Parts: sequence; structure tokens; C-alpha cells
Amino acid sequence: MMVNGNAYLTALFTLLAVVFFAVGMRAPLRTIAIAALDGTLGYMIYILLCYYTSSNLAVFVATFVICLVAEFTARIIKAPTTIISFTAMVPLVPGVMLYDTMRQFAAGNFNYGIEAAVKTIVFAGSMSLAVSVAAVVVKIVFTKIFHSAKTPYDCAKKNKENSVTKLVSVGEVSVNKRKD
Amino acid sequence: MSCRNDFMLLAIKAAAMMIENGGETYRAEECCISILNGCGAKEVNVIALPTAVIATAEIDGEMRTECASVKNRTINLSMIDRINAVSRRIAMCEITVEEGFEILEKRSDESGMRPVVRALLFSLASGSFAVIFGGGVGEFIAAYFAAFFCRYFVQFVESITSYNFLSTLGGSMIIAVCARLAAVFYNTIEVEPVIIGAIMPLVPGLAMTNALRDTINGDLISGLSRGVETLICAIAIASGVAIVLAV
Repeated sequence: MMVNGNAYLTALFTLLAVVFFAVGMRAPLRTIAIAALDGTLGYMIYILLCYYTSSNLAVFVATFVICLVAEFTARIIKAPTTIISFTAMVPLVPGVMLYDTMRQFAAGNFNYGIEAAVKTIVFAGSMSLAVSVAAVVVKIVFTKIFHSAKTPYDCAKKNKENSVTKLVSVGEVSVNKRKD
Repeated sequence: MSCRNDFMLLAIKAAAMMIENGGETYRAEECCISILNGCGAKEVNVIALPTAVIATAEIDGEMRTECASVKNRTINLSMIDRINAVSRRIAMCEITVEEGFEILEKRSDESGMRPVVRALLFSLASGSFAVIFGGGVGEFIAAYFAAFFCRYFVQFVESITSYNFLSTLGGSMIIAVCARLAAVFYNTIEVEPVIIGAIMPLVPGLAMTNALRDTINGDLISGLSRGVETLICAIAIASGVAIVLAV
């Protein structure tokens, strides 16, 4: 899936595709640049790894990198992770495989159709596994290593505890201020 | 209005809007829980499904349950961002409940772009996909126009009815017709990259990934029903393209 075998052209068109997809999906303007760079990085990793391993492993690693970058940048610019990873993953989504599956079924080639369907499900499965694993890894890193409650749910729990006990230590106040 | 001060209603509305605009199930639940916890409710329990949200909580010593049904689901990323900001800021006690309602009900776009301009820009993505999947300049232009007509048709149908199957079927038929016409008029254009590039924004690949992800996360009902939605959408695209290609 390279444009004339030229990596730079492929990167350019991936970038354009993600940018305009994000515009069409009404992404907030401050996330579009990050999502475009993130998506291009992921697609390049996918193409590179496809030369060495199976496409399923390649897409797992690529999606994992995309989601890690998305999780970290989302905490910096205070946006939900989904907005960035949703648009950045679009070039990797198995649209071609799904189209191939449907076309085989429509043409009556049920054996090829089922083969293509299973391939598509495995491909999409490795993508979603990577998304879940990345989310868990980032959560562990943030809660266990940095000791900071970053999700709104954790903040709410912290607020509630503070209001109940009326005991606000100096450390927690500084954490709360940094989150604003 | 007294209900403008009711944070329970705000929480359930935020969760329902999160699902309506394409947020994940766990995000809707977390959003609802954080608003309720931030306002001092106890014993919070939230169930979010693709078609409904139910929340129950103990407020001032009384148990209270609210539900909201979700009829149509689209994807609007800036609304997800806004709802998330509301839930976070209410949990941090930065804004009042009334201000939260105001932010949620303000439906205007952040960029202020007109729908036609948005469709024109969106179609450029399809052109780029056509190039990535093996096309050239001719395929780029053909996919651009095919995707624009499809987008326009889908927006037109969605303004009349919220019946997704029909708009997807018609849209993919339009794409296939445009691709075949382009191939008839210019012999160098191949049909395949044009069709794949133009249906890429329609194809429910991302919905499929989300469905599997919901299942892995443990939201089994959401995962199954989103999977069925994906299947229906894929069938619509397949039959639309196949009908035209078979003629």
C-alpha cells in the first residue's frame, strides 16, 4: 500500500487523509495537528513492520504506539483520548478487507468470503486489543509511578474524600492546582 | 425552572449525549459517575447501553433513579470534548450545574463551518485514501467527486430520517455509479481504488474496532449490539456496491 513505492508520498497522503477526516468528523481544532502526526507515524510503522512480520502483529504494534502517543498528548492538551486515537487510527482500519469480504459474498464465493471475514475479524481484533492494552499500561504508569489521579472520575473521588474529612494536605492542594 | 439546578438530570443528560455523539460506553459511565460524585451523591450506579442510560444514586438520604433513551447515534468529536470538559469541571467544582446545562445545550460548531464546506473538505480525505490504495491523479479526482456526492446524499437523507441503512445503501450506490462512469469516460482510471477510497469514511471499520473493544472491556451488551450495527452497515455498503457492479 505504498504510493509508487515512495515512502514520502505515502506519508504525505496519509497526513492529508487524517487531517480531512478529522475535519469531517468535527474534531476540535487543537487536536487535528496531533492526530495527523500520530496517524502518519502509526501508518509508517505498520508499513515498515509489514516487511518483517505478519500484518496482524504489525497492526498491533502500530495501534499500540498510536494509542500511547494519544494518551500522553491527550493529558497535556486536556482532551479525551478517543478524539485523537479515533482519527489517527483511520488509515489502519481494515476497510479494504471488509470491502473484499463483502464483494466475495456478493459474488457468491462463500469460501473466499469466510476466509476474508475471519482475516478481517482477526485484524480488527488485534487493533482493539492494542487499544485496550495501551489504556491499561498508561493507567498503571500514571497511577502507580506518578501517583497522580488524572481522570475526572478519580478527581471526583478525591474531591469527595476531601469534603467528607475536611482534611486537605498541602500535597493534595498542589496536585489539584496543577490539574486546572 | 427548578430542574436547571438538578445535577442528577445534568449527569444523565451528559451521559446520553455522550453516547449520541459517538463516545464509548465506559466514557459515558465515567462522565455520569464523576458529575454525581462531584456533586456529593452516594451509592452511585450507572448503566450505559447504546440505546439507553440508567443512573441511580443516594442524594440527601433518598434513593433516586433517572433514565434517558438514546434514539440516534452519530459521530461528533467536538461534542464529546465539550461534554468531557463539563463533567471534569463540575467534578472539580469550577462551574455550576446551570452553566453545565448551558454548555451542553449550545449546539453550534466550534469552527463555524457550513455543511457544504465540510463535505468538500471531507471528500479530500477520500481522494487521499484512493491514492494510498494504489491510485493516481485521475483516481484522486474521481474519488473526490464520488465521495462528495455520497456525502451530500447521506446528509440529505439524515436530515429527513434517522434511518442509517437507507442512507448508507444509497451512498454506496452513488459511489459505485460515479466510479464506473469515471472509468467509462477515462480509460486510464481504475474502478477499484476509487471505490475503496470513497467508501473508506463510510465503512464501519472503526465501529467494529470499538465493538470488539467494548467486549474486551467487559461491556458485553454494548459490544454485541454495536457489532450488529456494524454488520448491518457492512451489508448495506456491500449490497449497494454489488448492485451497481453487477449491472
